[in-house]
Amino acid sequence: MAENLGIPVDEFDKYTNIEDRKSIVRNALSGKSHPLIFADNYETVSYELNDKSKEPSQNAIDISNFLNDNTPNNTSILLTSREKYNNLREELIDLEGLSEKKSMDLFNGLVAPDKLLKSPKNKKVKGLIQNLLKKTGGHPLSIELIAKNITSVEELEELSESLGAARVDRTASEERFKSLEACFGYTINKLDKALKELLPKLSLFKSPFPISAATEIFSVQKGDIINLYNRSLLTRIESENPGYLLYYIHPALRNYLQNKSDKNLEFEYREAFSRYYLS
Amino acid sequence: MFPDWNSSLEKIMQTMKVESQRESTIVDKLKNQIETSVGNIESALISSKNVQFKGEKEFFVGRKVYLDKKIKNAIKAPGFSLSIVGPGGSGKSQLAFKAIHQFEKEGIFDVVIPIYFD
Repeated sequence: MAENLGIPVDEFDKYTNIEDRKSIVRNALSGKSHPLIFADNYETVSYELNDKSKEPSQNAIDISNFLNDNTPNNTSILLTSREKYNNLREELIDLEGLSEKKSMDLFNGLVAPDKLLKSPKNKKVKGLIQNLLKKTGGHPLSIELIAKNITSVEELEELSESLGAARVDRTASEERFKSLEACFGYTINKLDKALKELLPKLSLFKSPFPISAATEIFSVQKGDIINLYNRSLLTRIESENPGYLLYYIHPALRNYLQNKSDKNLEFEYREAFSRYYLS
Repeated sequence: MFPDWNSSLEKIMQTMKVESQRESTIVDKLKNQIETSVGNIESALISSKNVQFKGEKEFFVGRKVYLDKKIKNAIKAPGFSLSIVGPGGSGKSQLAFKAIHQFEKEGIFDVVIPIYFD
């Protein structure tokens, strides 16, 4: 980038002062026509800044200050955030659940190609699925979990029962989130003992991890990780090395697992993490 | 919890460098294809801009009102700030990815710098 902007790279590396670096980035942005800074999961910063019980980290302050006061006028900012108060004088778009039709489309797009469940002809099965999706309030991750984990009519009925009687309004954020947690609970309960124990341990990874890290640190099989991925309890991304995959737990599931976990897993596996990452 | 500030800035610089390289690639492609048709050139330009974001899923449904109205209305001019908010698992990131791809194709942004928190 330094080259393309006419700034020698070795020259840029000499700037260790944060203000100098900000200035270089600001100038680079100014040279573009309409750059977009896209900040995903920005609640991580906002939660810190909004928490009155303790001082926010300097990183959180710097990031907020840069986005607020140091971006040039041509630069736009798009955030995704669980927090409504992000202090960037930004416009808010509150995301509702999917409509009933789109919920069904998502379910059919993700469910295994099973005659019983995919675009079902059987009225009873179709009714059960529609009813179940209404109880999620059209929440995409809930629908994905249902599609990837339900294999029989009995399970449909069982999950429907555990989600309660009422349909959830797709504008009701809290109810949708409760429904998602119920889906997490049901799906995890269905796992065998080894996977049930493994999942909270995987939430110790703070960033996407290679499969080898999980197998070495927790002494599990690759198949266990793939199994969790196939159930949408893990997400997979390609790393910067093409063909090299990394896994991670959706932030909502990680929070759920960390709230439920009563063991001090971090302490228990600290050494194993060090061994893996320092070797 | 956060990416280190210096490394984040470097990431921005690297991303912009990749963007610039991408633009060079587009120009090369255009040169190679100029004898074919304008349509082919345009599609080459569009496909070159379709970079996958971290965690982007292949299957996406709905959200037409957000893509064609709510977000589109908010991003017309440079310098906007917009938050897509909602509880975990509501599809905020997937919607943002889709919107960015769509608006890049429409030529609204010339460079996108993703920063992933969490």
